[in-house]
Amino acid sequence: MKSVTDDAIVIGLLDYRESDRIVSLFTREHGRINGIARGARRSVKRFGGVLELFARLTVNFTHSDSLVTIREVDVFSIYPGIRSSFEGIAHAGYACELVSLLAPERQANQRLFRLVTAYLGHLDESSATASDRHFFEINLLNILGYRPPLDSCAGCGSNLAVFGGVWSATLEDGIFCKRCSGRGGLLDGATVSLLLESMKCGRFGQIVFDQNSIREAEAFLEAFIASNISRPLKSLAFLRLSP
Amino acid sequence: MLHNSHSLTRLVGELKKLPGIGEKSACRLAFHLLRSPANIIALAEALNEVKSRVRFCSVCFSITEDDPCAICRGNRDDSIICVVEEPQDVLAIERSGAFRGKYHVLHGVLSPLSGITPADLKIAQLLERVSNSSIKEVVIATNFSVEGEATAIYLTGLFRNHGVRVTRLAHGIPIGSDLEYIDSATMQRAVQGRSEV
Ligand SMILES: [Zn+2]
Ligand SMILES: [Zn+2]
Repeated sequence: MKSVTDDAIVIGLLDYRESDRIVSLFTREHGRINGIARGARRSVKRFGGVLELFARLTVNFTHSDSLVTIREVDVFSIYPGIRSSFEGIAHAGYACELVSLLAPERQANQRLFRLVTAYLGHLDESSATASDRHFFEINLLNILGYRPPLDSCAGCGSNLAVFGGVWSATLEDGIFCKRCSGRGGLLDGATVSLLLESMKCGRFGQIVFDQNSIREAEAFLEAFIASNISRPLKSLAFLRLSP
Repeated sequence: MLHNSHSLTRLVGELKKLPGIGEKSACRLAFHLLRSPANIIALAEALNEVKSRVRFCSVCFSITEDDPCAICRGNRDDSIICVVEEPQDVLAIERSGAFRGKYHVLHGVLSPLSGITPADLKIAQLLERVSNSSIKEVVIATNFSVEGEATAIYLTGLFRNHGVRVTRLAHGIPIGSDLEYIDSATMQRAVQGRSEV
């Protein structure tokens, strides 16, 4: 059987049978794949301490219909900076769960791969912030084709970055300006601008949300993401434990 | 194959639920037991006894037949408590003979991707034990997985203002190993966790 080598991030792990592990990977060339690492729990020699959540690896695997078989891994980084901080682990775990739930299986998406590795690299070197989290969320949504309709009011077409917006729990009808819709979650013009700018900016740490924007963006993005996934995010409970 | 024996089918079904046992192994084990009725009775009795006698210690939450367990009742150092994920971790540390204090079993670890939070573990009980006793040091012996590390960091924060010393088991390069064969993940941790000599 032909084997291939690819860059990957471990986005999920599950113990399987007596000594195996099911590994969820997000790879550069093959997108999101699930693989089996035989003997991973018993033999430290074969996979080292390498098959760990968030680890960035070079992985060699053989293709099959459902689960690929992981033959060899080489670690690029286990991100020791993330692992030594509770908030780092919480934010990286959240990012991995979003990729697990939103990235389609076996569809390469190099832009998303760059976004995720950039976020993990950033979390490894600096402390986790709400600004970076929202920067990641909005870019992930944009790259995967879930761009929220933040440009103009769904009713009158006015510029939301100028007039601000109101979104309702269903989010189905789009976002309205304050004149077209009275009820719902608020998005100040400044918050809309920051979210739009985030999608144009290529680097973490450049865009800083203020307290009000953080509050508004969090409520909006959580609702928007929830409306696009099949089950509630487990990592949110963990994220809320972060001081 | 087993359609003519409901009880045999049931036994195979139960055996299959055990870790690492598939349909084939379950059948093999079932037929092996059938051939030796004495073994069946001994196994059934052992299972019943475990079910009726083994429970969790109400102090440390390790497994025991008498509550509190022998370690909690025994003549051990009361000032130091070792926090582990699972009861089998107590056995692993006890086998080494290196620890003379007491234990606390969390019954799991905090896990971002499984949504396991402090309320799901024996963390409130640990806090209560530490607050109401003469414990001076808490040794955190959770695994060196992401979840184990997250739990260790969380506990460290929890005990920051409790006037106890919090320590973590050392990790790094296994005894007797050559540096050139160490995987890079272990090496990264060993370098990060290096200590003064
Ligand atoms: Zn409008
Ligand atoms: Zn006990």
